[in-house]
Amino acid sequence: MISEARVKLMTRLASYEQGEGKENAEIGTYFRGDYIGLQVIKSVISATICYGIVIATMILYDSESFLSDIYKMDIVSYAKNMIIYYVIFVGGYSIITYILYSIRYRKARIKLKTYFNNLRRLQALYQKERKDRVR
Amino acid sequence: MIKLLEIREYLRRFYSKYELYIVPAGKFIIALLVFLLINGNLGYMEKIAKVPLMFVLALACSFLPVSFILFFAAALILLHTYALSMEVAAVVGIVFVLIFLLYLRMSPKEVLITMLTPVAFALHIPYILPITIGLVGSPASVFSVGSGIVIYYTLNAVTQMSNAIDSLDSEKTASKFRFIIDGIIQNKTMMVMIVAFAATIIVVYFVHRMNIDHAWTVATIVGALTNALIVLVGDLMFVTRASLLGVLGGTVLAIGVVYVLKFFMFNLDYARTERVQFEDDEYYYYVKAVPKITLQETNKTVKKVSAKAPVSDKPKSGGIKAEKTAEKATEQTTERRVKKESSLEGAASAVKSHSSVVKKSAGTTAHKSTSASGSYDSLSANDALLGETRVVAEKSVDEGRVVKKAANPAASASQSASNAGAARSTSNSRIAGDLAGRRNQGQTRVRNDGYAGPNPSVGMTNGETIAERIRRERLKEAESIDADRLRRQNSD
Repeated sequence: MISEARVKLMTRLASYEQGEGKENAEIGTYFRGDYIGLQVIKSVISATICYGIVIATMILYDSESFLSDIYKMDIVSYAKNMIIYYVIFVGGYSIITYILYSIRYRKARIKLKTYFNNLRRLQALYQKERKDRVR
Repeated sequence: MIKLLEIREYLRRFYSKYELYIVPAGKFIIALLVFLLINGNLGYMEKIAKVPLMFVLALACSFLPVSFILFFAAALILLHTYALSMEVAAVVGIVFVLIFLLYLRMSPKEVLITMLTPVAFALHIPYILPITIGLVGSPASVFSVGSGIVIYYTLNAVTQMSNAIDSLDSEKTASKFRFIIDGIIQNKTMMVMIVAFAATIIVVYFVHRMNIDHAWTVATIVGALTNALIVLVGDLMFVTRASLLGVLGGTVLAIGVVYVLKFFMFNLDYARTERVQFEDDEYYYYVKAVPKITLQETNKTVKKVSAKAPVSDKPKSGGIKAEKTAEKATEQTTERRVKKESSLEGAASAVKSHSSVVKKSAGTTAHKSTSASGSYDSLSANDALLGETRVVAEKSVDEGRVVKKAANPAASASQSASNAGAARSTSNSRIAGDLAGRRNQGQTRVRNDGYAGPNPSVGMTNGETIAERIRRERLKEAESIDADRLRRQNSD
């Protein structure tokens, strides 16, 4: 016999799994530190690539004067400035990533907690049905 | 006003019923609009600037995720700019890569906003965007809108400088490169727009979440004023040559459009019909969950349709009375209930004639189609099979609206039951058997579809249908009227 309460609960669970459950499940497989650390590493790589593209564009933009001034300018201080700007840019982007993904992780954990509670309720319903059948 | 409310309810029901077709159609329209605008404004490569090709691409995008529209749009833009000049394509490509790596990587869901921003600018209705996004989105949407503004002004710069780029010597790559980047970076209008839209989104977001009366209206007006103020101040500071009439006219139009959108979106839940599949040890389940459409009103008058005179409050100013008389409504309800019960009996007999034993093994598949309400809490399956229809007149005192709501949980259930082919399983015949017992028990049950009246099953005698009960009560009433008349005649 089909239990309506169980079907309703399973429908709710399946609906969640089809929708935002997919993303939250991926988040749920990581510990908080691992998940945020992974996203920060990805952000650092993206920011580095972007910074490289921007520097290359700036050099191409001003290529004539750059090539003519390269022997005159202080390369060490120029490189130091580039590194300082890189650290500020990547550091700022990483902090934004850290904050954003912390919030996302916390929200996903709340939804996952509800999901696991519903799974426990489903398990309890199954056990109750088995007991009823035995009687 | 009532007509508008009815149109709104119709739209909600229409969306929840046909959501499966509306979403791909919407994606098709947006994709086609984006591709046609790109071809219209750029269109340097004639081989791909063909309308049938755009239709085919838009059709493909209607079945793919939304991010594919942006992908195809970016590809089209790069091809057109490559036809103009390789340096232009390189600069536009760099802009796309930066936006993707820095922003879209973190918020892939906001691709639609990034795409709609240049479209709104191209259609000369940009001021609608920040107010709408502030009302329905979050402050993080500032980055999506900013990306969209950068894309629009980049392409605008390319369009405006296309003649000059053509005239430049093809060997002078560096000068072309510098020319295009200057056109993008030194565009003060773009900076002013980014600042104005960002401020508007943030202001609208925080104002509409405040605990004040008419928060949405106040947020719309404050947002529109903020936007207009920043654009005009930026025009004074940087001489962006923004037209005063254009800004003010666009702002007023934006307020009007947002007001219309607010009417259709505020405090409404455009819930979708959900189709899920799951299995357990005994069955495979194919479930269609249809949301119940209810309108949240502060003051409700529930009109019970029965054999007795209906109980209803007097309408206050601005309200409209329900036009049906009690008897007419009773007859109509009786007809509906008789029809529903006959369909139930027909279904039950069909089930019995096509009975098949459901084997409790994993190898046998039993199709169970059921409708569960969006709330999952009420016994909607049984209600659906009972086929009860209730007409409820609701009235809002404040706004003087009357919305007629027909709570008909049977409609979708009967539809899905007919789709399943009259549910050929013994489980359904068992449910029909349960129902025959439930009718006589007069159980109270929790409903969350707004019906607040007593259980109509209470007071019914054994084996009696609802129609029979109504007939019995009307006979009793007629008898009492006759008895009163006789008594008066005798006393005279």
